[in-house]
Amino acid sequence: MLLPQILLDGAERFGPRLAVQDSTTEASYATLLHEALSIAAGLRASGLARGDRVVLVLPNGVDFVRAHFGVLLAGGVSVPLDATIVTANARHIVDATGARLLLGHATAVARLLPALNSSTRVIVAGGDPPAPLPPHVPTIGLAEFQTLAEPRSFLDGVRPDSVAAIMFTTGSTGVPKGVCLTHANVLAALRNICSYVGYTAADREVVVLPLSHNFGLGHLYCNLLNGGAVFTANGLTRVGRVLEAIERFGATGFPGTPLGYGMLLDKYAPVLATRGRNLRFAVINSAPLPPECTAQLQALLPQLDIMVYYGLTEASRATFLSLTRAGPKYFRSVGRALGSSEVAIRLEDGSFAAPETSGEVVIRGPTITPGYWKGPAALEPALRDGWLHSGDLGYLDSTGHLFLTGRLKDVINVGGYKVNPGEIEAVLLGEPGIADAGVAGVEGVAGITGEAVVAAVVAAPGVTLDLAAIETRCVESLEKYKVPSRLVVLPSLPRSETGKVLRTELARQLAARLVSRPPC
Amino acid sequence: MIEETIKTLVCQTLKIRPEVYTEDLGAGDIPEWDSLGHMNLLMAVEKHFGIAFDVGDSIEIETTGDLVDMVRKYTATGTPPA
Repeated sequence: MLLPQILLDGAERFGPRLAVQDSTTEASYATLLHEALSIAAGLRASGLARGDRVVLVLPNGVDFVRAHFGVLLAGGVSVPLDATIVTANARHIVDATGARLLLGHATAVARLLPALNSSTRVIVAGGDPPAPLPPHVPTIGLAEFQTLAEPRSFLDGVRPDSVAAIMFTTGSTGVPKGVCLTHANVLAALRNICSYVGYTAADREVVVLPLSHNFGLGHLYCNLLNGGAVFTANGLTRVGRVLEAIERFGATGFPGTPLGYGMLLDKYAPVLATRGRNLRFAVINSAPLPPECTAQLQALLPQLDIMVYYGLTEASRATFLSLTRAGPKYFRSVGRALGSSEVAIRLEDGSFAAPETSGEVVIRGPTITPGYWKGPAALEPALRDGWLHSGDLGYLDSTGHLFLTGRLKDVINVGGYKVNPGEIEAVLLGEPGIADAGVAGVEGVAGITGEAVVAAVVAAPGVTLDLAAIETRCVESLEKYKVPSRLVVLPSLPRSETGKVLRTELARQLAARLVSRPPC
Repeated sequence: MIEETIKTLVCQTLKIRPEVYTEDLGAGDIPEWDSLGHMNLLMAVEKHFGIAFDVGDSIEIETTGDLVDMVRKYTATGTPPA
């Protein structure tokens, strides 16, 4: 089976039922398939061949779903990017994937166009550009694009082990790396998830997580696979509308991050209690859910089945756990191995750890990526003996429940977005007057649940640093979630004898200086 | 006066240049005004004016204009309003 079969089967089984809705439009299963087939035909008429990459720079919405499945039905490879991606990273990804087509929202297109070369064809879906688009790149509206050819699919020659999507994540060097996911990878993960969560055709989820990431996209797939419906919006920025949508849409599910749920519990608990009273389940992931958050959410919504999981883009969901069913004893666990996935703990000498012994979390099974785009060698250090080495530390208890204890890698987790400190340090060190810079994830800063990016800078001798100017530089050079929440001037940074920033110590020093609030 | 203070707070909290600010700039319109930025902005406004938005009011705030209107409502009637 191939991934777009979800839509082909869905149209046949659930034709007139609502599939997806946003604040301005909606599509039934039958309509969605027709529109996606139209886009597929348009892509092929534009010269797309099987296996060609199409970059999507679209916010959450029905257009994203149409376009993503359109690419898949054309036999192409979807490369969904966050609509707020900075120009340099977008250019890198377009160039690295050799994408000849970019399908984007007008605002994103206007921002990214100057960085694209003229061989990239651009399809504009939704929105009005803030200024006339430059003429050197050919552009066409999505509606017009859908009339270029008769709707049809182009799946001949596409196999389950063909790459369906490339999901870009922060690399260990700060350069985005593309995780190739085959049709079989994604479908194996969906079977595991659907089996555990128990999706039915009666489910309706409000998804505000980015559809350009596996977490949000997975929820879209799961609903479409089972005849459910999704209302999608962009994050919790307009929180009143999201809470209203949960009630109006009759949502049974509302996936989120600990950061998002922490904010809802902290600021909007009475409204969540009222408007979320029909929620059946909530999958919460991307960072550890503090036990006090779990307890608070469960008390607020007693009917809610609170679920967490552990996963990586390279491996999809590897474990799952209903905290509601497991009880407080397991509130710090992320669950047991899910379906066809195997999870184990490996020690430095390569041996497998006994229960209750900490080591590196490793994963094996049909959901594991075949490699990074144009860089299969890059995965090799992590893929040994068939096991993907996650870089996360943890242990399994005697019942197979996984508990995470730390990380081997220098990665900060900001509400599910992985941030490489080195990328931010490079920006800071490019600023005149900064002699040294170190970045760490610090919990309890800015009143948020989980880690925040905090930067420490050391001034060059005789220099008084202009922190506002440094902030502006960060805002201009980095995606929003990478911009430090706090900038702190230190006389020196804790470094090892080899000159490496001691991030744990730096985080401790920064935490001691900053006002903190307990999460939730 | 309230308008100018809100503009300053919005620019400082979201780390945007003054020329980006408009009277109908809203949450989600710019990358800087995401959910976390929104929460920080409400906290900054509450702290500056010494007020605390009621939950029902705070979920209605989506734009800079909403912020101005809400601050005017709270500062005119005392904190919090009846």
